[in-house]
Amino acid sequence: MALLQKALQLITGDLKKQSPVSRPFRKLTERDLIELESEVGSQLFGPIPAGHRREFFCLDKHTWIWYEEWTDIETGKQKSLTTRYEVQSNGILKVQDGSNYRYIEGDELKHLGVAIRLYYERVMRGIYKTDPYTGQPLTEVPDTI
Amino acid sequence: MQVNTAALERATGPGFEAFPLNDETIYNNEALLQEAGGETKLWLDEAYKDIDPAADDHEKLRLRTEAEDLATSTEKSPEVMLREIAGMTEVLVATRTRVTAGSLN
Repeated sequence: MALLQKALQLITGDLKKQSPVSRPFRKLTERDLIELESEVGSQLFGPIPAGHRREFFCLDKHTWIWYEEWTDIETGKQKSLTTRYEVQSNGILKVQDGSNYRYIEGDELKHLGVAIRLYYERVMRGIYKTDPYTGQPLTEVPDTI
Repeated sequence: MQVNTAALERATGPGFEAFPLNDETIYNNEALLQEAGGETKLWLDEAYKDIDPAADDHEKLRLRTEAEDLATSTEKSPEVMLREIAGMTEVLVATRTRVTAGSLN
């Protein structure tokens, strides 16, 4: 439950009210870094439709979170879907809204793998200024993340 | 702005099955090109070259899909993909931990 609570706090917390980007000189917390990473992650799948909120981030060394939030066109109510990908020794378990779960395979596994590779590349270079292959600090700052 | 919930649910339900990466992202990704030893870029250049601006949307879509498939068809086994994902995830978290501990940046 601690894991789920942590993910929910990251997703539903006051992310926009306390953007780490607006306070660049204070020490960054784990949560700040995850928010920065998620900003990169949310852009991997093309433009985010108006009225949507999307988060995609690595929560811990066993868990990836994909969160989508939108407004129901008929009821006007906010809806959301949280998908958790658990990296296990025998596969990647996909859990949606805590109940529906299965191991992913085929194209879905391939797409997730490519998404994580892109995330890894961009986050390591863009946020941590580290070469993703060697782990050494980058000497040049990339133009974009 | 409101969106079509049914369409969104169809899109978000299956996760990465329904959200393939867009071809521009893949095309521009240096790591994937390096991994394929430059061959992917050549294939993609060929595929994109054939996209006639005057072609109908269906044909453009087919060619783009083909280009995307080529870019991602590194033909890794699920075991290899799993090891890579686990490895990258671990490095990310370790790097994050070093930053919060003040030993990086």
